[in-house]
Amino acid sequence: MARDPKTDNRELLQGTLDMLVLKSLQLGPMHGWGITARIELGSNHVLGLNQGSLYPALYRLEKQGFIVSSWDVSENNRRARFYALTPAGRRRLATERAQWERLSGAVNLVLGMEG
Amino acid sequence: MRRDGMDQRLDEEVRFHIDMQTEHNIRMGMTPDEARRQANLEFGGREKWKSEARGEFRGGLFDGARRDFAFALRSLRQQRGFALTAVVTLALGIGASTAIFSVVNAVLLRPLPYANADRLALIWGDMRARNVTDFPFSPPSFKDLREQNTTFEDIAALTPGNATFAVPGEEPEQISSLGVTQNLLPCWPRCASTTRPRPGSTSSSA
Repeated sequence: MARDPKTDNRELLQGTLDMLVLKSLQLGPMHGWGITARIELGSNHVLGLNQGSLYPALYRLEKQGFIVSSWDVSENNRRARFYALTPAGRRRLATERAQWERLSGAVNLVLGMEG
Repeated sequence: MRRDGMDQRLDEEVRFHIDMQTEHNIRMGMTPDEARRQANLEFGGREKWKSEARGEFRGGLFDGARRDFAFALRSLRQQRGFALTAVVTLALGIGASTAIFSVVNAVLLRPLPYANADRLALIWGDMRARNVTDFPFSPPSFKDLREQNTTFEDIAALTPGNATFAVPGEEPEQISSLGVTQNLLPCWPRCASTTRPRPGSTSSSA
């Protein structure tokens, strides 16, 4: 994740951060750093989260009731705040995912136009 | 969640995140110093995003306003002299403004209690040979004026003076008085017993 900010164009499309965070938590409860690692790995190192927006997003999602958090012990035996999906969060993820697929499908259709 | 708990949680989460990132950087082959430096760098303005996260958690705008208010209260408590000066200044300012407005309202703003208050006029006499203007009318002149009037609906007269107001057993008081003709008050005589003369109703009516 050591990357040069000047050449860093891996910025997330607006509005996808919440969806990616929810998705990464669908795999199981995780702490903030683990969420960035999951998204980074899952995107084959194409997507990188800006921590400056990750934690505000986590707190926002928690306030909205899509995730809950609690203290737990991390894989290296340290106290860490773990986040987990709520049922509302699962439904939210499904909605956002459907929207995303519709949108990206439409964009692909446009890009695939021939003539 | 209380504010302190909130900050503590944020601090701990950041610390944990940076430690994890540092370890990760070391695994990727960085020296420990460089690893920590990069991890810190990546986190960027820590205070900035902390306040953002706090805002997300506690409701943004109103929370900010509430914290500003609390801060203002604390500052005032610490600087009592300043607080007292400010309060006294405000009190005097509000008091003076209220007093001035009361007078302006009664004298200038509030219309006189007549049906067409904007058509009232004050009639004065002139003694042109002697270069005297705004001279009051004598009672006989007023009588003539009223009887021969064709311009106004009606003309009433008033004359200011002083009087001694005395109630047995109490200190007598010097008061400003106003002698008026009966027709000065449009609601005469119904309102005479309850209406006290106001400052501002001291012009004659037409």
